[in-house]
Parts: sequence; C-alpha cells; structure tokens
Amino acid sequence: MRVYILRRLALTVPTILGASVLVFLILHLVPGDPAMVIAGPTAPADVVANIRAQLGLDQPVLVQYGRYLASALRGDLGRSILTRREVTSEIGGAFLNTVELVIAARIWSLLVAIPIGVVAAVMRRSAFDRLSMVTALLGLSLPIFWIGLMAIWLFAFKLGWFPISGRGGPLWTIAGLHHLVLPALTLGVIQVPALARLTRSSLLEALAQDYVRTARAKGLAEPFVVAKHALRNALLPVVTVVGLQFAGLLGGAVVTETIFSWPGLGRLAVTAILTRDFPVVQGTILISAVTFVTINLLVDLLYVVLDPRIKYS
Amino acid sequence: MRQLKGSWMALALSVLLALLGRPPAAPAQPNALVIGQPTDADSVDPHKITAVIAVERLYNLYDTLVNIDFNLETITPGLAESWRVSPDGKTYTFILKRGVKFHSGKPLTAQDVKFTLDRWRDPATASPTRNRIAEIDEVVAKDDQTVVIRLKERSNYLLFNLASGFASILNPEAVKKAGASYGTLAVDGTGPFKFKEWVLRDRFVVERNPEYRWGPPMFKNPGPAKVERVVWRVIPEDATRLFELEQGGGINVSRWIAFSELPRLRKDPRLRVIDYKVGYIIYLGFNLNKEIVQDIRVRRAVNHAIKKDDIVNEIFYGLGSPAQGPMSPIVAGAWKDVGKVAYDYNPARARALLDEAGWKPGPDGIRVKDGKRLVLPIHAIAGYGYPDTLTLIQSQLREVGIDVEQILLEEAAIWGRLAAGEHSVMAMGNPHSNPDEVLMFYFHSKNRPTPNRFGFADPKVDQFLEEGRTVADRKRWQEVYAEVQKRVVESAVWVPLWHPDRAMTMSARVSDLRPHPVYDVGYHKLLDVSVAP
Amino acid sequence: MADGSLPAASGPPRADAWRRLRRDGTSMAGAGCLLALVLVACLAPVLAPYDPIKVAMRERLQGPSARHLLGTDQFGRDILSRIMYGARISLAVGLIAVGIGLGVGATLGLVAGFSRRLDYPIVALMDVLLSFPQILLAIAIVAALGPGIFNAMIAVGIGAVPGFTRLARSSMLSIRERDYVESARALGATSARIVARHVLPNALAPLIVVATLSLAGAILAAAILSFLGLGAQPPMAEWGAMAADGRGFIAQHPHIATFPSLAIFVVVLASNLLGDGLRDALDPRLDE
Repeated sequence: MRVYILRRLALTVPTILGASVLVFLILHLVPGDPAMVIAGPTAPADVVANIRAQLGLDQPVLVQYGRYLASALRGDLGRSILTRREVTSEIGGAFLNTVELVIAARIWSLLVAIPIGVVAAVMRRSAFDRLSMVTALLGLSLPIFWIGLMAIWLFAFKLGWFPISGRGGPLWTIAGLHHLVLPALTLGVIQVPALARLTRSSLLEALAQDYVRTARAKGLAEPFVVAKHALRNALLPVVTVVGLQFAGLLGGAVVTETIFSWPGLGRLAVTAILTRDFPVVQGTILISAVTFVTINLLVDLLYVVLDPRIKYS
Repeated sequence: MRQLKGSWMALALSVLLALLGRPPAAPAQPNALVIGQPTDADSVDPHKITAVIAVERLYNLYDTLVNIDFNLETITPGLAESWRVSPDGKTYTFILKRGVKFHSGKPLTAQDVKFTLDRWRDPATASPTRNRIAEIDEVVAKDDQTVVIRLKERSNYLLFNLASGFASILNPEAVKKAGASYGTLAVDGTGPFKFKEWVLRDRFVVERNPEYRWGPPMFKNPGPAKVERVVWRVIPEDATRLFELEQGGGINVSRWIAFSELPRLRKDPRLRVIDYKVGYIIYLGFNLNKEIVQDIRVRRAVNHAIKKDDIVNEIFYGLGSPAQGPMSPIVAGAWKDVGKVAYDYNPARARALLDEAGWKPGPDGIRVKDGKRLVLPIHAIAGYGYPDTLTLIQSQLREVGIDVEQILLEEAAIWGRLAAGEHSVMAMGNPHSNPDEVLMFYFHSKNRPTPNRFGFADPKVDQFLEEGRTVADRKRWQEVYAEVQKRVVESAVWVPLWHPDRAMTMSARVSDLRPHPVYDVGYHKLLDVSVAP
Repeated sequence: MADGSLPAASGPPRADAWRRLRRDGTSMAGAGCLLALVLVACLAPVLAPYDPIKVAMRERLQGPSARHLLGTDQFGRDILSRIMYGARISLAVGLIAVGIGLGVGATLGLVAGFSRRLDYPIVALMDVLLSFPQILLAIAIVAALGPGIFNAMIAVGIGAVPGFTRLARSSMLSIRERDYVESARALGATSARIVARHVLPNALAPLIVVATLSLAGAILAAAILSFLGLGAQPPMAEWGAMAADGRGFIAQHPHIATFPSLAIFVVVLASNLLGDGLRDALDPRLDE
C-alpha cells in the first residue's frame, strides 16, 4: 500500500512538470508583451527596452524557463510582472477564495442533485424521472453569465435579499456567508444536471447487481436495500467525478467570479493570461496541476478503502 | 384559520409588491466614499505605473511639488510654497512648505525630493514615464527647505510634469525598507489619506490623515479631509457596478457607468450625474508604411466618409464632441482655426477622391483596384467602446465602398503588434494636458516606431515640436503648435474622431465632489468631499 | 465466414437500438430540434427578415414588436435575424470543435489502447492537459492564436481531446480482451482488420454518445470565450457574443442578452436529450 502511494506520488512529478513546461511554451512563443503593458501607450522604445531588460524578458526562452525552474524549486515562484508582488501571495489568497466558492457550490449542488438522482432512479421511467432530468438540464444549458446576472438582478437588486457582489469576509462570519450565497448558487446550478444524472445511472447500475438481487431475495425492504447496499456503491462514481472535476472548476469559476466581483483565482488567471503576466500564469497552472494530481490520488485511495473488491498491485 | 389565511395573503402580497417595487436601499456606509472601478491598480509606486486607475490613488496618498488647476493651465503651489526660475530658464529653485510630514511621522525635507526625482530618472528604476523629465540635468538639495533643479535646456513643461501623479514625493526610508514591495505592501506619502488595506482585486482602502493641512489652493479645504475613509472597490462587470450604485449601498460613486444608463439615472432623485470635459482625443491613425493607406486621397476619403456626430450621439449618447484636429479644444495650445483645414463629413467627396485614386466600385459595392479589394484592417483594444465605434465606422465606410476588418485585441497583444508595425490602421485614445503630451509623442520622427506608430516624419514638424518645448514667447509658442496641427491634419495621417466627455455618477448623499480633468483621473485630492449618512 | 473472421459485435444488433431510440419521445424531440436548427442555419438568408449586420441606429434598443419579433440590439440590428444567422456559427462551432476533439482524441485513444509503447506517453500528455482548468487552456490557446471564432473552435476542440482519448482508450482496452478478438487473432487476422471490424464498431457507440453530449459543452464554451471577448469578433452574430454584448443592457433591455441565451439553451437541451436517448438505446440494461 505504501509502495503504491509512493509510486503514485512519484508519477505526479512528470505531470506537474509537463503542465508547467507546456504553459510556459504557449505563453512565450506567442505574441504579447507585458513590458509594453507596463510602459503604456506613450512610452518611447528605449523606455520599453529598459523595462524589458529589468524584468529579464529579453533573455532566450530556455534561459528564462531555467531561471524560473531553479527558483521554483527553492520555493520562490517569482514576482508578478505587473504588480511586482510575490506570486505566492498573489495567488494564495485568490486560490483560497476560489476554493471557498467551489466547495460551497459543490455542497449545494450535491444536496440537490443526489436526492433528485436517487428518486429518479427508484422511480425510473416515471413522469418524475423524465421531468426531473429535463429540468435539471436547465442549469446546464443556460449560459452561466446569464444565470448569474439574472440572479443578481432578481435576488439582490430587486428583492434585496442578498448583497450584489463582492466577498463579504471570512467564511465563518455572517457577512461572509451572506455574500457567498448567490455566487455559490450560480456556480452550483450548472453542476446539478450532470451529478443528478450520474447518480441516477450509477444507482440503476448498482441496483441491477447480483448482491442487490440477493438482498431482495432475502426479503429485505426495498428502501433498506436501496439505501444500505446500492447507494453506497452507487456514490463511488459520483465521488470520483466530483473530485476529478474540482481542479477544472478552479478555472471554470472565472465567469462567476467576474460577475460577482469575487476575488478568486479564475479571474486572476484570465487577467494574467491576457496581460502575459507569465509568473502568475505559471503559478496558477502549478497550483491547479498540484490540486488535480492530489485529488486524483485521494480519490483512488478512497476507492481502495471503500470497495474491497478492487486490488492494486 | 381565517386569520392564518389572511396572513399568507398578506405575505404573498408583500412579496409581490417587493418584486414590483423599488429596490430596497442597502444599509448606508459610515462616512466613507466608496468608488467603483472595473479593474484594480497594479501598484501605487508612482515610478512603476501609468494606468489612470492607479494615478487617481496617487493624488490622494501623496503630494507633488506643484499642482495643476482645474483649467489645466495654471500651476499652483503644492509641497513647494513658492519657486523662481532663472532668466535663462534652466534653473528652478523651489522653497518647500514647512511643517509637512509623511504618514509615518517623518518630516519632509529637500533630500526627499531629490531622492524621488533621482529615482524617477534612474534607468535602474525602469520607470515607464521617466522620459517626461528627460530635460533634468541634476537635482540639488541646497538645504532642508530648498530644492534646485538644473535643466539641460529650457523647458515649458517641467512644471506640468512635476504636477503629475508620477512626480509624487516619496519617503526614502520607506522605499528602501520595502524594497521591491514598495507600492504594493508598503506605502508612505504626505497626502490627505494614508494607506490602510489592500485586498488585491477586491478593495483598496485609505484612511484620513488627521495631520494634513497643506492642501492645494484649488480646494476649499486645506485639510484634513472631511471623509474618514475612501474605498476603491473593484467590480469588473458593468451591470453589477450599476446595480451597486443604484441600490445605494455598495458604492456611492463611479466614473464607469454605461452611458446608455445615464439618461435614466439623471432622472433618479437619489443620484446625481456630473458631466465634465477632459483633455482627450480618440483617433484613427494610419500606418504610412503600409501601401494600402499611402495614397493621401484614400486617407482623406476616409476622413470625409466618417460621420463623427453619429459616433458621439449614437454610441456615447452625446457625451463628447466631434474632433477636427489632434488636440482637445479645452487644452491650451489647441489651434482655434483647425476647422479651416479639417475634413467635413462629405461622402460624395470621399467617393470622388477614391475614384480619382483609381479605386472603382466592385460587384459587391466594395472598391477594387488592380484586383485588390479596398479592405482596411483596423487594430483596436477590445473594450472601452472601441468595438462599438469600429462597428459604426464599418457601416459608414461601407457606404463609400471601403470594407473594414476589425482586429480587436487585449492590451498585452496589441502594443507589441503595433510596435512591430503590422497594422494599417489603428484606433486609440490619449489624455493630454498640453500640446507636448500628444503632438510630440505621436508626430516627432524620433519617436518611431513607438509611440509614433504611424511612420510620420516631417522635418518641419520636428523642428516646431522641439521649438515648442523651449520657446519663451507665448505667442510664438501658440504659433508653432498651430503649424504642427495644420500639417498633421493636412497630411491626413490621422482621422481625429472625437473628444470624449466624462460622467461621474454619484449618490445624492455625496457633496462637493468636483471632477478634475488632469490625466483623465476624475478624482484628484478628495479634500472637499463629504458623504451624508 | 470465408475471410476467417467472426460475426462483428457481441452487443445488441444495430436495428434494435434504432427502434428503441425512435420510441423515446424526448430524444426524438431533441433530434427534431437539432434538425430544425440545421434547417434554419441553411435557410437563414431566405428566412431572416433583415440583414444581420446592417446598422440602423434609429431602431435601436427596441423591445419585441410586430416589426422586430425579438426586438433590436444597441445598433438597431434585428435580433431574430441575427439569431438565425448565428445558428450557422453556433452549429459550426459545435461540430468543428467536437469534430476536432473526437477525431484527434479517438485516434490517440485507440492508438494508446492498442500500442503498449505509445500508451504511457499519450496518457501522460492527456493527464497534463487535464490538469489545466479547461477554460484557462482555451483562453491560453486563443491568446496564442489570436481572437476569432475559428481559433475559439480550435481551442475548445483541443480542450475536448483528453476526454475522447480516455474513452477511446478504455474501449480499446476492454474490447481487446474479448473472446472474439482472441479468436480472430488466433485465426490469423491482422491487427488492422481487427481494429476495423471489431474494435471500431463497438467503440463507436459510446464515442457518438459522448460526442452528442459534448456538442452542448462546446457551444457553451465558445459562448464563455465570447463573454471574455476572445471568441467571435464583431459584427459576427454568434449567440455567445450576442449574449455577452447584451449583458451591459440587462437592467433596462434584458431581451438583447436573453434571446440568444434561450437559443443556446434550446440547442444544448436538444443535444443533451438526444445524447441521453442514444446512450439509453445502446445500453439496454438500463431499461429493465
């Protein structure tokens, strides 16, 4: 078991490294000049060259990457080209804010999706099944920026139930929670359909298994069968998907963060890409890759723990 | 039972009324001015930034030696209570006010001014604006209260540039202590507000400086400020920003409200909209190195074919005025008679010019010559109203047989491409408070390839621009710049589009906020402003 | 059989699946919708009442009326006409992006499942791509290639590749172990023939299902790119760009952003319903 974990950990290194190299290449072999963004529209060429030299941007790409890697291994992810702040501090706060938003969205979407999926599976082919699946699709089909803006217009502006935008404070304060509701709702709504359908199909699959037939044959009550035996196994794929999508959601929250003025990583990353703030983009991809492989690993471990039928050599 | 039913009815009714009624006002902020902006500044180190959004914060955190009045012409005292200039114009002696202190408590001395100006000029600092004071030869702190600046040559613009936000006076101790983090994690100035908190991309908070008493004479209140706090809130989405202002609690002022909303907001008694003029020009610039725009008749045709009134009225709701020349009429030095050579809206003339130039209408209406279609690719920033402007221009030029391809890019991409000269036409804008700030940058031949992105080179223009920097006689000063503007317009290297006005929308609870046009900041020192509870 | 191979698939015969699909009401509704979309896209020049890019400032910001059924936008352009023309672009976006994802992804996946040597590098590359938040990858690619609807299609397509690769690879791996493949090999059939006759037909089904479902995601991803200003450039009438443009007016003229959003909704819903139906039809166990 320990060997397995260590081997998996070792395998994550090439993935993270690969991601880092890939984004470095994309950004550097691409037109775009952060030195000119800093310099502004009326700076003469020599001033721009001065800035570029100061930032080390006039070195060959390989040299720049080498320097970056060397410092990164020492824990120094460099400084943002535009703000000159350390990348770790720029990204750290934003990352936590996005995690807060993503987890809140996940929780509410699971609370809604799983019951819908369970009931739909149990009452399959009924009107409820059809209707709930179609309604759940609503969240997936409308552009998220439309959903977000409508939510603000109705619940915050017209009704005044929630603040319009911004992060109100730490998660454990009333203001913080109050500000979290609408953005989490918006981000969560697009996840409900997929999760509901996944719950439904994996529960149906679990219900068709032999051990369920055995339980039924033993005379156990249906709800009991569903809850105790089928559900636990059915939720495994759901957990997997939830985990795997997590890293993806870090960027996917960018629209929600923009509309709700949420100071998160998605917004930061997009701005950084568009202004060619290389160290910040690198840092974002790094955090994202690390999150992805970590969660992958945790999910696999969870599988081993929860489902003894699976064996890993 | 009946009663219960009744209360359900009442509840339903009140929900319905709430849905249809006015948005309930959010709780009012305590004595604070909350400004709504679409993006955050990168830093408040005056030697590292150029963005308008950053500069407006500089005016409140720091002071400069001198200030420029609301009329963009008069230089008034700042940290310097008086100054004199030597007869040859090459030596300036500033006497500093007494009793000025930084937020940290350190008293202001002439050595601080020397440090600041030297740092600004130092290539090691790599300041994007350091060429503004390129004429400075050396700065000497004669004693604690006296600063002497010696110039390489006479300059008509030194005081203007010393009044800019980039000339904010720094505390050497704070700068050295913070190192690379100065301007982001640590800030020390002499301004009416001191740095309190910066949550990046969320809010920038400053607090009243209770010791401040040396405000510029253009404000009624010399200090301390009336509001306790100023908060710059970053709200990237236009609709969200509008909601925050309209509801009354989230923000109480913003320059960034969509013009399409202003007619409605002007009628709202809870809000006030202040329109003001700024020195700004928005233009189309031709790259004279590109064959397709090298024929002056084509350029003049484009000038004649664009109906600038439509741009101003339809896209920007009348908030501005069509431009005839490269300078805004409110800025001293703008040539009053530019209308004599400017191009009027005259599609017939445009068509005649194009015919003369050999461009004949093709089967789809677009003109053709030697098998090539007359397609103008126009580079512009993807935002700030440029896409809409180009769409309108596109339809106008189509009327005379010119096709337009919009090339909209984010800033990082566009500057590089423009510097590389890949564009044929570009759309851009420029704030300016004096002729040098726009004409020198864009039309002196030594400034190619950037910021002179047009390949423009006229030896007479070069000569006049250089003369304008040093000539003492006011009348001659106006003459040389009039000549420059005449030549620029006649060459049709630009299509001057329009001069935008600005609008500051605020809650009615905000009083005495007078927008300042310099560098398009809007918010200069917020000394007079008060916010009613 | 004369050429030495065994009957192709061990799954349900094709005809059965088709019959099941046809009986499924909601899926047929979805299919019908998509068909209508294709028709509108093809016939837009005939059906649209106005020129979609002609500016008419006198008519701007009008709500739905008799003359403009869905109202006009801030340039006075008829929204109904723009939506009709936009159908072409949204369809193209969906098809091309999914096409790229399917084509490249399926090929890579089949190769990875087939060749032990190429398996690890391909899987590693997919892992690297997957560790990027998808939207950031798309933005980086568009930033690299330049804004525009075509580059947006490429970016979205590339983002879809890892998913298809994984799917094709796992199909290939599971089919490879099946009895009939072993037998075919024993009988001397070449690898190419095995892939063509046995693997592809069986791998195709889940790939088609996922492709249909991905259509929706591709259209939405392109809409988000337009929201960020990186997709369709003006004056192109792409639904995402229209909704993004209209969002500044959402307070007073919500119809400008809402109608294109509804168009996106209908198409996405339809392709999801059809995809679900396909999946149910091809996998009868779920019907018991």
